[in-house]
Amino acid sequence: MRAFRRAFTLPLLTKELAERATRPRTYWMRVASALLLFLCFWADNRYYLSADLQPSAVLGSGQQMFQSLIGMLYIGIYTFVPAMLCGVVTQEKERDSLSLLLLTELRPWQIVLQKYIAGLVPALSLLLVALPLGGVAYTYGGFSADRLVFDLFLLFLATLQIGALALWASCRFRTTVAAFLGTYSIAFLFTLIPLLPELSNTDYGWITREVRPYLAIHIPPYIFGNATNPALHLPGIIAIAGTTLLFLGLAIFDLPRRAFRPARPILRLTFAWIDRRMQALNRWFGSVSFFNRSAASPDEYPIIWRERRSRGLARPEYLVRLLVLIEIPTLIIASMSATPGWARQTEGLSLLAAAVGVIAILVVAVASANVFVSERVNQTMEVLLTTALSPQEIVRQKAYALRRLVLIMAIPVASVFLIEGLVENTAPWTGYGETLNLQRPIDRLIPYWLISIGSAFLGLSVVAWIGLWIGLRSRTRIRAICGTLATIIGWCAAPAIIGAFIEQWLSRQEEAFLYVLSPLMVPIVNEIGQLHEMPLLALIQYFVVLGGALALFRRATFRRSDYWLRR
Amino acid sequence: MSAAPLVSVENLHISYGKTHAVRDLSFAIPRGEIFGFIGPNGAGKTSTIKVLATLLRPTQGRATVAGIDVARDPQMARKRIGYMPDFFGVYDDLTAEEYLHFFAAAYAIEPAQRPQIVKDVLALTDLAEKAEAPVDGLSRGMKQRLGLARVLLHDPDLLLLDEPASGLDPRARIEMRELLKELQSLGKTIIVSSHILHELSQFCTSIGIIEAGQMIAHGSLNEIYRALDLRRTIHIQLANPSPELAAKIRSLRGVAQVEEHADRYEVRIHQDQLAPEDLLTAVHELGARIRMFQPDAMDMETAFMKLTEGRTA
Repeated sequence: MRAFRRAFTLPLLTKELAERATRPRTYWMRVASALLLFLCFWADNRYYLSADLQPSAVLGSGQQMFQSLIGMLYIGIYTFVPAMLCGVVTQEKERDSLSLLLLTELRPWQIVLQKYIAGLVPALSLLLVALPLGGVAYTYGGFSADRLVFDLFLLFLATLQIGALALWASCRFRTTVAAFLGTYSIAFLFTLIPLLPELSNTDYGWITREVRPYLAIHIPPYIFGNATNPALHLPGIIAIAGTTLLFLGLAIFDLPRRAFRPARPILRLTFAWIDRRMQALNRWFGSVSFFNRSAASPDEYPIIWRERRSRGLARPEYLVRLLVLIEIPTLIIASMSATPGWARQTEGLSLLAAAVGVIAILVVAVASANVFVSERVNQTMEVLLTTALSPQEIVRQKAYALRRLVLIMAIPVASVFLIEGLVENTAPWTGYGETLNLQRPIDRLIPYWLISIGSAFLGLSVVAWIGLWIGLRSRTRIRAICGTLATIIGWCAAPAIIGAFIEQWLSRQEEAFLYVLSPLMVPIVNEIGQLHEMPLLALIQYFVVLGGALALFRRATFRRSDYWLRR
Repeated sequence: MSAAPLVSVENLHISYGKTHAVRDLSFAIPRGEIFGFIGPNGAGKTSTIKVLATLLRPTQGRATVAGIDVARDPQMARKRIGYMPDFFGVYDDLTAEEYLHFFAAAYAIEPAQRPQIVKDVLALTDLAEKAEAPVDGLSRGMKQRLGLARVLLHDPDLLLLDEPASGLDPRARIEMRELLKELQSLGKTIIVSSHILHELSQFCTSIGIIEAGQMIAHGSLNEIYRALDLRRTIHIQLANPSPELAAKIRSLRGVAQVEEHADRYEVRIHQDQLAPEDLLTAVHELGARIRMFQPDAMDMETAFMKLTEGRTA
């Protein structure tokens, strides 16, 4: 009985919840997220929610409303749950306080479970907030109560699953940034690989037409998308619950084993290993070198020198390898998507562009948000500030060192656009439910390339400056990363939400000018081949806004850098 | 006319929101001094040092280093100071030499001069053998010495050392103390904060005791000692101890108390009336055969306890 009581005493959970309860940001973040969800729901379904319509005209529209709600919740969960949970153990490691926890009577499984529950509370509270909206959709009809319960249950499982994955990454990796990127990398492989046969619509050996749908049943949005196939429901729930338990088991396994292991920059170590092998091989060819290695000592720009020398993502030769690492699979997938054997055709290429774009945004956002915070966390900032380098010079050199990463991450996005443009130029593909003719003659191809590639490069530069600006003001990595992502998502969504409120007073042209304030609008319109319908001025405004945002965030970062760096 | 002090702090106030960390603090430190900054935790030592290091703006008042106002012209001031915080990280992916080269560039030292300067500071801090060692492989004592090497790179006039001996083992502490003495002999002015009072008394030429953001004592050790009427303890071991001899010692002018132990006498003197060397002569003249004569270091702990009440800002 005593052992049972001791096992279920929850000191860590109590502490975590008490800490959260004392922070004002817990409350305003909950209010803000609920408000954002309500606004987005209203904005997306304002036609059905309009009081002017006859009840008979909207009957049965609940299904669309509910699907849009679930879609929003999936986006919210997959964006913020990893950010909230990937730092719960790494922060203890970074503060050297994990050893204190491991020395207590708490077993690793208790630590993992209590951290897990505490980390899930904000996400689950968001799901609770969504319940009334589900109720509203239900009153409009069009779907059954069973479907409502099933989809909400799937969302709950999705939260548990991605949370468990982020927690495992937190136990496995040394730093919060590594855990964050690790979570998305594992999630990407975990999702993409089983989906490939389904996307290709081709049978490979034992992967027959009958087997293919079952390969991706551990992915909650896949089950949500195939909810009309009841044969997938139970196996799907079992697979999702099973993978969640697997991640939690791995977290419990890794927590004590990797608690004190120093950071191992896998990418850098792999590249260093390749370097040694290549140099040994190169002796046979007269030691030809295409790269000037970083100088052994800094010249005029010590911070650039250090960033390029020390960081895996800043060395020129490593960046080129990273580019090759991302670019080759991207090109292979892009080429495969463009072949007639694949079902999705150019839709697949658009999806690939979106996927590579999201990865690029995540990598640049995390890297830039971490630039200043890492100096704070490693306690090197104060020392740097007492040197002859001015705060503005520190910011300038840090930003400069980030430029190559932005370039490298933009290239794969640009190459997908290039291939997609070529495909759409040479064949009369149709897509998006056969409703749009996406063939791009040369007069539309060049603007397509210029705008999509231009917005990729410019957009990623803006992301980098947003990350630098927020990182400059943040004390912890989690806050910097979450703040950067929230700002980017908020910026993307804000024009649509504002537009929903005021559209009745706007002309169609004015609406276009409002919506292009979102950085996503022009690339999306461009992607679906409707750019020629957009006013030229709106297009110019889009690039002016992006350029203006770049200048604004850059100026804001420099302006009070003296104050923020010394905080 | 006396030379202008290197450091001058006038009516300094530092506030963090509603908390007043430092209130109306004023002091001056002449060139070549080792100034020990003492106070309980939360007294305002680190805040004051951070103002001098240009990391914190004073809420009110003025602080100058070599006549340069640190708030108005921080860039100029930084050329004259070297700051070592109580906790500092190192770029652990660099070697000790690379680490110093990085900061040499950050201090805008001419590239041609850097190798020699780095070599010199490594030699001065006894780290020459560790030049190629990765920084994360160095012991804590070595990292502290590397930190000291870093602050010496640009040859500053003033060294600001916040708890330089914290967490060091006895050997590393002694090495650090000797290094500071050597730096003083090179003409550096040093402000050092520490909780190890006994050690500070061994090499500081003056001290400032701060509590709740206010300076409650400032001056040389002797001056503070005198102001507080503190007594100095001297242990004397005699080959011919006797109650009569103890009584004679007790009657000497300036002797406050003599305690008789099994192996020695513990004599407390008013140092402003009787210097330890005069006591030695007087005891010898009384016919004592002296085996051991050991004055305690300045009893700074007593001074500290007498002056402070444990209040924080």
